[in-house]
Formats: sequence, structure tokens, C-alpha cells
Amino acid sequence: MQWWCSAVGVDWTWAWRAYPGVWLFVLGVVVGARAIAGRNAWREATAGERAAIVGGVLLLWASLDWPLGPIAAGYLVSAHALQFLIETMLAAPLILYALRASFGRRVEARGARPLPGAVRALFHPLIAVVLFNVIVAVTHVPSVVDALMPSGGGAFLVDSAWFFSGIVFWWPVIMPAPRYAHFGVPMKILYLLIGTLFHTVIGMVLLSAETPIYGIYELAPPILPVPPRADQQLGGGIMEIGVFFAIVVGSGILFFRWAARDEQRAR
Amino acid sequence: MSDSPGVTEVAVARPGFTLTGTDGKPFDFRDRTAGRLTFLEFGYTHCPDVCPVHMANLAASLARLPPSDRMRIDVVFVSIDPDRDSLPALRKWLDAFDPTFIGLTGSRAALDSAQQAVGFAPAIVQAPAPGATAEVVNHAAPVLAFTADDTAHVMYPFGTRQADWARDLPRLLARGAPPVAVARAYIVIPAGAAPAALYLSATNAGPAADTIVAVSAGDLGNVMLHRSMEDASGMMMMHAVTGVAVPAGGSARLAPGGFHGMIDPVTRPLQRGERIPLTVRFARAGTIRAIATVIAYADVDTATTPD
Repeated sequence: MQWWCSAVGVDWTWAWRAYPGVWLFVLGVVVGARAIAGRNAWREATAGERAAIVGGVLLLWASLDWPLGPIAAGYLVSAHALQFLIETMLAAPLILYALRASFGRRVEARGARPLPGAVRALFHPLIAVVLFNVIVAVTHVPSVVDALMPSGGGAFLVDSAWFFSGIVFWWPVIMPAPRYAHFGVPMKILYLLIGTLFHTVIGMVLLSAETPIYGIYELAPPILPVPPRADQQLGGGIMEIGVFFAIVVGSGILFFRWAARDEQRAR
Repeated sequence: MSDSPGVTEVAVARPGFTLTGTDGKPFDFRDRTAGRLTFLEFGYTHCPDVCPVHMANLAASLARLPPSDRMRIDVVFVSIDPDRDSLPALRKWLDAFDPTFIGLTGSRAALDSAQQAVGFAPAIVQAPAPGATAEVVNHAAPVLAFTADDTAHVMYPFGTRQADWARDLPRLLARGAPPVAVARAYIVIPAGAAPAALYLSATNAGPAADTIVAVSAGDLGNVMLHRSMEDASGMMMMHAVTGVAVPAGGSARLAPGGFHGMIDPVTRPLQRGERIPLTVRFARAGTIRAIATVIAYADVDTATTPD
């Protein structure tokens, strides 16, 4: 039994397999979320927040566990891209959205500096966007992917780095603290747009490369009658369209809430 | 010859085994592929990893070559699992990669001897693993690359990537190749009992001019070299020629409205897509083998238009 999904290079079968490391990781995320939200958070949460935390955790679990996890780890670049999209652009913001209000209440109760200095620095928009893009860049370098994905530890490193980078990236946009002057809604929208520009570059590389760039996926036992390059192009398309869609939705929510607040204030 | 990881240098002469093609006819490997860059793989269609990955990567790499180079290459896949790989099943499996890939199989004894002819241990059929239903065939995984000098100098292991093929294909095409090359060869299906036209392109990378002096299409019929020319009254006239000049560093075409081959009489009906072995004799470079594809008259313009 493997503890984490990795590229094993054997013929794919639809027989279910257990990945206990994934369950522990998801459990760890739930425990971490509870620690951030506080003890009474679930009781005080709105229906939308409950749906967001359940949806976010389930999406994260689905992206890491069988069947998407092992397919993404060792068979299809497109599944790998979908996994990336779910972890960074869906699960992370949904979980943060669910924690937003309860975390805000705890911050107010504790005072102005609710986070340790190092964590506070991590969520500075400038540091967050740089860290997010560095993680995204490094974890998409072909030699890094080919070296890490065949081992459980390497694949775990990639998956946890993605989820962590998603949390870091979305934190300044969604969470109420730490607050930074001049980082209002227009800046947040700009942050989302600029912060994901690098994805466009990766998506373009996947779409336009003449040959498959990841050996792991090029030499994987075929799982679908799709040539490796077409699979890679599909992965590029998922990166391009998926991330764009997530950013448009995120920016849209920010803008309309801002506009609604403005209108309320004007009344 | 290759910088690709895992590639092994070998010296294997093009073997002379005869197996059955997916068309049900005998296929003499040495005779049918002589002088051409030929990739030979032994495998089976139920193979979960090595065979489909090799075939997919080769197909993708060959598809990126210019048509004139692509036509100089054969891929021969020998199924070493004749019990499960019927000829139609083998053809269908290869068609999913590239319809021009050649599929062969035969009796176990013939297959064993074909593998031994290139220095491979014969494949071994293993009973299904516990919990599995399908038999596994243990077989040699490398792809042998026979170049124009009828020798395989390199063997590509599983793990050879498309980027490796893209880098090595031009080198393999050049290895042992004479300065002249024949590509884009087509035979047009004649109407009724009329003669069949033969078109091709010849290139000469050498320092001296050469001449095509004869073309043979095996048992298909006698090939004559002709030239169509307009006379003073504007009538198209056709007359026999003794050769077609291919200038040094240049090329010549047998094409509609100019020099062309004429197969008369055609000894048997032709099927669109059929591949006919040709022997083209040059005055200086000697004999070059090529493959002509049989096309319909409607395809002539597309097929004979230069790249």
C-alpha cells in the first residue's frame, strides 16, 4: 500500500486503492481550519460558510485521493493541472471564505495583532504573491516534476506546496487580518490579475510545446487514447481557462460586494 | 550517433526473416525494407506500457517530419503474441498510432527465430499474475533502428522521449544514405486497362550530377521513363527517354506534364493506399529502394505538389 499517490509506472486499473497519507492530510486541514476558526465557529457559521468549508475540504480530498490523485501523479498532465486548479484556486479560497467571519471575530476579540510576526509577514500581499509564484514556477519545472512525482514524499511535497501556496495567495484577499493600508478592493482585484499572470505563461508553454515536456507523463502507461502532447495541451487549456475563470469569479465577488457596500453607505 | 539517454550502440545486420503482414501476405523484412530507415519493435497489442508508449512517441515524432523525409522511413511492429493478436486486431491497434506502420506476426517458431536474428531472446508468455486475468509477455523492449546501410547501429530503450527522436531522426536518415534520395513516390490507379503513371521526387546532395536510368516496380509491370512535351502546334506529345538528370545539389521530379514513369501493362489491380516497393537505378549512385503509395487520380495534384 502507498501512503501518498505517486507515479508508479504500472498499468492503470480502476481498482480502488487506499492512500492513508491523503486522509491524514485532509484531517490535518480540518483540524487547522478549526484552530483558525475557533471552537464555536460551526454553530455560528452561516449556511454559505458551512457549504464553503464542506465543499472546500471535499474538493481538496477528491483532488488528492483515488482516482484523481494517482492519475494526476503518474498518468495525465491534464489531471495534474486539474488537481493544481482545485487545490490552489477552489479548495483554498473556499476554506478561507468559510473561516473569514469566525477568524474576524477572533481577531476583534484578541486585538490588533492576532498573528505571530512571521505568519503576518507571510500574508503580506507582496510576499504572498512572490511566494505563490515561486512555488508555482518551481513545481512546474520539468526536471523537478520528473524527479519528485515517482516518490510518495516528492508527490506529497508538490501537493502540499500547492495547497499551501493557494492559502498564502488567497489569504490577503479573503481574510480580514492582517490589514494593510492601500490594499483595498481595487488593489485586491489587481493583485489577483497580476498574481496569476505566471499561470498564463505555464499554460502557454503546455499548449505550445512541440514535444511533451514531462517525462513522467510522456512515458506513462496510456490510460486514455490520447497522445501525450494532446494531454499536455489539455492541461495547458485547464490552466489557462480554469485559473482565468477562478480569478474572474473571485474579482467579480470582490467587486460586487464592494459596490453593494458603497451603495449601502451612500443610502 | 545518438546523445539520447540509454541508447545502446550495436551492429546488427538487417535480418532476413519472413512473417505475415496484416494484409495476410508474406512480408520479407530484408527485401521489403532494404536501404530504408526502419524501426523494428517486437511487442504485443495487450502490452500495457512499453509497446504503446514506443509506438505513440514514434508516431508523434514522425508526424513532425517533412513528408519527403517521412516517406523514407518504415516502422515495423512484430507481434510476439500471435494467440491474442489476430491480423485485424494488430492492424486496428497500429492504425490508432499511424496507418502506415507495418504490422507482422507469425508462428511462435518464426517469431522466435526473427527475434534471435536481431540478437534478442525470444519472448516468454507468463501466466496471469494473482488477481489479474491477462497474460503478460516478457519481451525485449528496445526499438532497433536500421539505417540505409542495412545495419542497426543503435537500439532505443523504453524511456526514449519524443525530444530524443526529434534530435536523432535526421541523423538516422543521413547515416549510410547515398547522396541521392527518392521520396514522394506515387502510382496512380489507371482507368481500366490503361497504363499507370508513376511520379516521384529525387534529390541529389552529392557534388556530381546523376541520372535516373531505370525504375522497377517489381512484379507490378514494366516501368518506362517518358516525357510529356508540347510540340510546335501546342499538342502534348509523349516520348520515351533514356534517363532523367538530377543535378548536383539539386532535384528532379517525375510529375504530371513532364518526366514521369509509365507502367504498361499493369499486371494486377491496385488498391488505393497500397505500398509498392520500387527500385530506382541511378547512373552514379546505384540502386535506391523506395516505397510508392497507390493513389487515385483525384489525389494526383495534392500528392505531387512540392512541399
